[in-house]
Parts: sequence; structure tokens; C-alpha cells
Amino acid sequence: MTSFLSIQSVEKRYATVLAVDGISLDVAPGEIVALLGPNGAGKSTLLRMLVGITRPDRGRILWNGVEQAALPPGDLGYLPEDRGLYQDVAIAKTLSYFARLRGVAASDAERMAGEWLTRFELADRAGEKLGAFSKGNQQKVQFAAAVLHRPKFAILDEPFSGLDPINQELFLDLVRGLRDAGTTVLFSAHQMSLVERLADRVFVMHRGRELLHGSVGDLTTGGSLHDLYIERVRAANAEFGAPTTSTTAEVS
Amino acid sequence: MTRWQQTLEVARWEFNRFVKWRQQLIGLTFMLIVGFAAGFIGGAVKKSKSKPVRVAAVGAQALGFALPNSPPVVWDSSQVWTEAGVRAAVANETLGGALIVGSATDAELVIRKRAGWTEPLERALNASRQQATMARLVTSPADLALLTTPMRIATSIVQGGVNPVARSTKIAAFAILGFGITILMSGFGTIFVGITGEKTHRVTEQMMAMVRPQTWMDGKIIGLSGAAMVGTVLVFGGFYVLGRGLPAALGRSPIAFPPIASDFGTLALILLVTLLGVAMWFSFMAALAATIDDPNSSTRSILLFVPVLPMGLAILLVDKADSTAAMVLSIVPLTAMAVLPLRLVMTSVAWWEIALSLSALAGAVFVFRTAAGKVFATAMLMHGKEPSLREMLRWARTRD
Repeated sequence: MTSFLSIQSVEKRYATVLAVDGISLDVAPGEIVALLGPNGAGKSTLLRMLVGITRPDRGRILWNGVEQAALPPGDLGYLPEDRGLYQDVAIAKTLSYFARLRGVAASDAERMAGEWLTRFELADRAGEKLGAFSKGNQQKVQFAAAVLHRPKFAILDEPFSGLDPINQELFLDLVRGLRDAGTTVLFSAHQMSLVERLADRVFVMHRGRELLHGSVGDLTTGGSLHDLYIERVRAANAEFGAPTTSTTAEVS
Repeated sequence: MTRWQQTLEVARWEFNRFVKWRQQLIGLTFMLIVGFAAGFIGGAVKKSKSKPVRVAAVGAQALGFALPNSPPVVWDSSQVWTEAGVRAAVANETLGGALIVGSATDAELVIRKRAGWTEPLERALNASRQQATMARLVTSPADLALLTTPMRIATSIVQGGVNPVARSTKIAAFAILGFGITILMSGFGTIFVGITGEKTHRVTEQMMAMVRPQTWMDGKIIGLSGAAMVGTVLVFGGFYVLGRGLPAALGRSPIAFPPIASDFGTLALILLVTLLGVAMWFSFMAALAATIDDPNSSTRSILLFVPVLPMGLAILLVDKADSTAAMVLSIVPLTAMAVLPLRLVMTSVAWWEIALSLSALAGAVFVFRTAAGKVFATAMLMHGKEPSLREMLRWARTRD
């Protein structure tokens, strides 16, 4: 079967830093793939290249076998690490606007925005501005903005970051729901227990390179994903002469 | 969805974000209420100032002419006043003032304080004295009329000469410049909030995953300049209503606003030049705003005022619209928005100058908007540092 996404030997350099160094990864339709790695490993840079915000210096990115900068906006959903929506506009209007930019008809966009806000129990606050919401609720709105238009491929950069356990469970169900509706998902995260429960496959990056790659089943036969991750990252840090504690502190 | 549809969607969004019809109409209504109230109060104050002032004269027969009429002064003839009597009456405010005449060339005006009526009274007394003297010296009424009537001099300009600029034309020219300045000034605010504010709130990445930076930039320029224009039209409309309505409400003849242009074609040309100029300067400001990381500490925001400089330059050219400098500046794109409309109103402009100016301006709009899109694409994702001018120029020169 043709991969939905095929990343082939991609490199990206910022000044003297090689942020992504020859990464190759294939994602099959309907898969949920987790992109892991310590802070600064190059995950967000890789995801930004996939959505077309930046371009690789070398290598190729193929969508359904065709090399292109990014999927059409209507087929792609993106939750960036740098979260931000319009603070001075009612959330329903913002959601509807984002959907329209992705090609959804105006009337459908409003209806879909209403449905997502109802799902998040925010329907009665649809006219309020984003600044009036708690961090958790803001993240729900941002998640809705990313996937409202029912994309074929969703890229979620740290969707669980800053969420309480209840909302983490909610987001877990939401991502599963996306997959059930036919969306392929690539997400980055630091929460190993959630990754183990959600992902089909795991791809770990370290200093821009591939460190570990495999199905969750294969990687967890000898223990938890958390322990394996810590062990491999510490070993890689030791190889580079970097401290071994800073990374583990950032992993939950 | 095509890029053009996305551009229009962004433009509509930005326009609606900044044009709050309800608030703007409330603001306009408030402005009209304040304007009318100020007009009525001003009228009332003026009326109160013209309340009669009783002034008594002592020794007026020494003047050799009748006391002149000089409102609001009313000469008191209720009694024969003495010098001591009028001084006491002015001191206790029974009288508004007193004129104590020593001789035909010497008098004293006694008052409690200087007021608006004193100088006109002094002028009226001197004028009456001059007229009385002339009447005494010139015996023929015809000679007297000749002396007191100013000479009528009609001015005619030979064919091919330069007509003097009528006052109404100057007002029209200043109105056009004011309109342009107001659009650019209101653009500062909308662009700061619409671009720097958006960058600060990190909306950027989400947007750039949906629309190309150039599309986003184009939509913003259209939407934000539209919003600035609507705001300006409302303000100028408010002034027009005040200028026509207030005098009518006060029972006076309304202000005669000069026609901006003599024909529809000229008006359309002025609008076209203004639109192109606004698009060019808004592109410049948008690119600059995208490079500002922190509006509170950046010194770069001062550069947003650069577009107003040509407007200031144009003010200096109001009386020199026919000069070579004005002709050249009306063709240079950076000054065309300010100088060409001025020349269209104040003088005749050759068709080739108009064509050259519009072509150069349209070309500049394309260059500015393209360069701005490239700067915007990189600068909007840059946080914690402002790019240098060299970096911005390098980005602007890159190919897609």
C-alpha cells in the first residue's frame, strides 16, 4: 500500500544548527504515529516542514506518492506548538473563519463550529472571546480549529501539553475519534503513558536524527515505553557528552 | 479554495475585525452631537458677548463729530455726566465704560478691564474723526465720495498666462491631502493590531498552515486599508454634515464646500491614485509591522510614520503645483499619492504625466506587496529578535 506520507532523507539547517538531519519516515493511511524526542530534537521543525511553513534543505516529502510542499489546506489539520488564536474575536467566528479558509462553505463552517463547541460543552459561550477562557478550554478551541474541517491528515504538535488528566483523557478520545473517522494522525508528545495508549507506531528523534522507531507493541515487549525512552535518550546524550538529567525531567 | 478566494476571505475577516459598524456609528453620532452642542454653545456665547455695553461720554461736543455707532456700545444719554460721576459709575459697574473727551485729538476711555468692544470703539472714533475732517476740508460731495470709496481693480489673465489659485481650490487640495493623511494615520493602528498583535498572539503558524504568506498579506492589505478608508470616510462625512447642518440649525447660510474635482473623470483619477498609494504604503507598513517583535520596546515603529512625510511635502507644493518639482514628484511613486491629486485639482496635468504616474505607482504597488509578502513570511515566524534591514532586503530579493 502507498504511504499517505513519505519523508525521505529530509534535512533542515538553521544557521549552524542542523535541526533535522536525514530523517526518513512513512505513515500509512489510518495510522496514528507518535513523534517523540527531547526538547530541541527537531520534532517541531519536521512538523513545520510537513505543513509547508518551512521547506527542507534536502530530501523529499511525498504525499500519496506525490512530492509537494504540503497537502491542500482542506486535507490537512494542524495544531501548532506555538498556540494562538484571535484574542479579540468570538470563538465561534474564529472557528468558522478557519474552516472557510480551508474551503468549507460558510453555512457548513458555522454548523461545524457549533457542533465542536457543543462537544466541548462550550456552546453557550460561543460568542465569548478567547481571552475569557481557561487554558484547558482555550486548548479545546485550538484543537477544534485544527480539525474542524475533517482533514485527511492531522498533525498535532504536543496536543496534551498543559492539560489536566481529565482533559488528557478527553483529547485521547478525540484523537481516536479522528482516526475512526478516517483521519491519519501524526502527533508529538512527551507523555509516554498516553503515547503507549494512543499510538500505533513511535518514532523518536534525538539531535535531529532518528533514535528509535517501531510499533508500540514491539517497543513495549520488554518494559514500558517510558523506561525504554529514558534509557535510549540517556545513552544518546552520553554519547554526545550531554547531561543525562535534563531530558528526563521534561518527560512525564 | 483558490488563492484569490482565500485572499478575499482574509480581506473580509480583517475588514470586519476593524470596522465595527455599531461602534463607529455611535462614535460618529457622538461626534455630531458634540459638534452641534459646541456650535450651539458657541453661538450662545457669541450672543452673550454682544450684550449691550452702556458707555457715557463727557465733553463729547469737543470731538466735532457725532459719537459713532459701534455695537455693542450703547451711548448713555440718561443724564448729563460729570467726569467724577462717570469714574464712580464705571467703578461700581453702573456703566460699562466712559469716554472723557479733552479735545478733538485727546480723549480717555475709562473701563474696569479690557473687553472685546474697546478696540472697535477706538477704531470707530478715529474713522468718524477722519470722515468729519474730510467732510470739512472737501466741499464737493463727489470729491468726498472719491476720497472715501476704494478703487475697483479687475484682474484679467492673458491667454496662456497662469491663473491665480482660488481659495476654494486650495481648500479642496488640503481636503484631499487631509483625507490621505487620515487614512495613513488610521492605518498605523489597524496594522499594529492586525499584524504585530497577531504575531504576538502566535496566530501565525496556524494561519500559515492554511494560507500562503503572500495570500495572507494581500488579504490583510485589502482588508485593513478598506477599514482605514471606511473610518476616514465616516470622519469626513461627519465634518460635512456638521459644516452643512450646524449653520442651518443656527439660522446661518451653510458652509459652501468646494467641489473636490470639476468632473467625474478627475474625481475617479484622484480615487484611483489614492487607492494605489494606500495599497503601496500599507504594504510597506505591513512588512515593517511583521518584523516588530515587541511593540512596547521596538524603536522600529517610528518608521511607520514614513508614509506621512510625502503628504507633508505636498503641503509645501500647494502654491507651486505647476512647478517642475511638483511634476517630477507626481510621477515618483513614493510621492505620487500626495502630489498627483494635488496637481489634478490645482492645475492641468498632461495625459502622459497621468499615465506615467499611474503606471509607476501600479508597478510600485506590485513590488512593495511582493517584497512585503516575502519579508512577512519569514518575519512573522521570528520571535525574540527583530531582523536587520540587510536580512529584510535579502528576504525581499529571494525567489519563491
